[in-house]
Amino acid sequence: MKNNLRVLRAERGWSQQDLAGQLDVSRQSVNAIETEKYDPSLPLAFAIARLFDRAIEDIFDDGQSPAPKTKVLRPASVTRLRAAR
Amino acid sequence: MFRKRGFKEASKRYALAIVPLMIVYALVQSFGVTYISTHEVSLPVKAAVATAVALPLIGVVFVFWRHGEETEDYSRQQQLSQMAEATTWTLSLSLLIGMLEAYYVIEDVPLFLFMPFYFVFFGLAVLRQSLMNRRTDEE
Repeated sequence: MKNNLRVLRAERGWSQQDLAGQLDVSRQSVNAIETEKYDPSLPLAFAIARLFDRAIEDIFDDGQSPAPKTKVLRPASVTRLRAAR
Repeated sequence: MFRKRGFKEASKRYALAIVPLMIVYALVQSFGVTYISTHEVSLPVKAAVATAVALPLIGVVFVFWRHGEETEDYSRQQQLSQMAEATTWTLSLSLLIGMLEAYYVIEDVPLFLFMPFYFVFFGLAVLRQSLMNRRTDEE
């Protein structure tokens, strides 16, 4: 699963070992997640999100997220005209 | 049977169990076998020494299993995969040797050798996985 764990870790200047220590996992585990060889369990994903103070979907991307909803903005005059019809 | 404890605590419990087991094994193997070979001992004593030599090694396999169950998910996945690989090779080898014995191609191979075979295969599985992991290891 794609993720930006490496970027978030680098922003804080942490090594893989530092992060592993804070999450109580092995350094190999952090490396496997960063290199997308291993998807973390749900509890570990929550722990990572909590540690970086982000939502899980801000860190992990399973490629299934819907496209962001686009809101069509119209001038107020058009809206008033449509309502009058 | 075992509950999750996290990487640090599981590793600590692993080390605390493995080291005494190996010390007990070395002591029993050294003194027990020496005693049996230099003294006239009864059959029950021989049985007791044989069991005492085997028990620490049996304990080591159970400690492998316990560590696999108690540690964090990725390490568990790796370790159980290594144990499965070692088990597959050991069972395959035992069947092959058994068939060769059954058809009188080779002499009887002592059964207890399959435990060292298991440890060798486990070590090879660990080595293979660490070499594979090293390819992607960037730190």
